[in-house]
Order: sequence, then C-alpha cells, then structure tokens
Amino acid sequence: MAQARGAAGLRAESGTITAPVRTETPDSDEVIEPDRPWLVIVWNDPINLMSYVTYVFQKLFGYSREKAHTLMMQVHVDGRSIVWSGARERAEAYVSALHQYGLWATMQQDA
Amino acid sequence: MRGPFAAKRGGRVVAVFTDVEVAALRQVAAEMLEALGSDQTHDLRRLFPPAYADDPVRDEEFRAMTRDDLLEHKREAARTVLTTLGGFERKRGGQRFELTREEAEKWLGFINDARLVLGTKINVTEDMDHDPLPESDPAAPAHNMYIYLSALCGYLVDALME
Repeated sequence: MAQARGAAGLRAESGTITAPVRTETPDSDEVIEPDRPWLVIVWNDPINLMSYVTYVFQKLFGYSREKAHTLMMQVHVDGRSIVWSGARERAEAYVSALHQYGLWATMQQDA
Repeated sequence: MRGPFAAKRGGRVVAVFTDVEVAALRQVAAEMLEALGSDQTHDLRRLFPPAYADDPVRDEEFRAMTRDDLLEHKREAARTVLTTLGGFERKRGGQRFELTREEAEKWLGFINDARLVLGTKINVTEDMDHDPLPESDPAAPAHNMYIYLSALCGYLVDALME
C-alpha cells in the first residue's frame, strides 16, 4: 500500500481522526453454516492508500478505527489479511463490495 | 493546510479547485467513462480483480453475476464527478463545489478508480518516487496526474473521516 503524502499523511499519523464511520455492525455471530467458514481476504497492492483501506474497512464492516487500522497494517506488512469470515453468500457480497471500493479482495473456504 | 476538501456539518463536503484542476478532473472523468464503455479490458483489469483466486469456475460465475453492477457502480461515480463539477460557485482563483456525503463518497470512489487504472498503466511500485517529474519527461503527464490524484484521495479520506 501507499502512504498519503504531505499534510494528509501527517494528520492521519497524529491520530486526530477518531470519529468512527457508522454503517453496519459486524455480524460474524450470524454464521449458521455447519461447515468450514469462508474467508474474505484483502491483498496488498502498491496503489491503494493506507488511509483509504482503513476507511473502507470501517465503512463497509462497521469496524472500529483501531480494528480497521490493525487489519490494514496486516495487509501492508504481511501482504494479506483475513478481514471477515462466515457464510459464503455474505462473503461474496463483501468481496463484491470490496471490489466496488477497488480493493484487491478474494475469498476461499477455511482449510 | 487540508487540501481542497473541507468537511461541513451534516456530512457535506466543500471542495475548492483551481480552473486547471477542474479541467483536469473533467478530462479524467470523461476518459474513465469512455474506457468503461469500451472494450479496453486490459487497461481496466485492475478494476475487476478475481474473487475466487483458486477456483476458475466459481470465479467466472462470480464475474458473470457481479460485473454489470461493478461496471455501473464505477460509471455512476465518474458521472457524479462530471455532474457535480457543473454546479460551481466562482471563487477568487478557482471554483467552489458543495457535495453531499453521498456525492463525496462517489468522488472518493472515482478518484481511487482513476488511480487504479493510471497506477496499473504506469506500473506503480510501493517505493515509487512521489515527486513530480519535469514536463520535459515523456512520463510526466501520467506520473504527475497519478501523484496529484493520490494526494486528492488522501485529503478526501481525511475529510470524510472527520
């Protein structure tokens, strides 16, 4: 991932942005499939900004800023992160939404 | 300094651009709409990543199911940018735009889509130099537009997270 440059990057690093972006609440407790869950994976890419990826995780999954930042850093450092797991249909909906945001997201069934 | 975007009450975002910036953004949005309506699938490949990386059959099903929506989502974002750029208020040295939250989010999507297409074209790497290239360099137009859009993207994310 790329870092936002200039003032934008400095402001993001200073941690002054604390208001969470409200959307849906996480619903990992809704998993009713008896078999192995599906994993939604976001992969690192050199284009998407770190702040943008954090924003998307908050907005789409309703994650806190801290959780979204942690997942973003996993993508950045480890090259990938499992950002959600659960039923296949919901996983597909999330992957589709992540593609609309331009993130490199794939899904696979837990091994 | 917070760039061209400022968050307002009620989720609105105000943007102030110079005439040169407005012309450039119009051009990028028009080019995006044209590309999305054409068969330039290679240039746009980054906008349509695989969903099932290790299952070509399911991946093809997924693409068939989602491609139209995904395409329309990206078209709608570019159209919103063009439409909202039409409604400006003249300010000294530039133009002022007032965006609803929804419009601002579409702007963000569009700016990122444009970065994805341009970044793929110029083969961006993580340690790419973010300094502008001199105009004499043949790579300057694409490179400089990419870093401009990157800065814009960072500023708009900040405004939306305020």
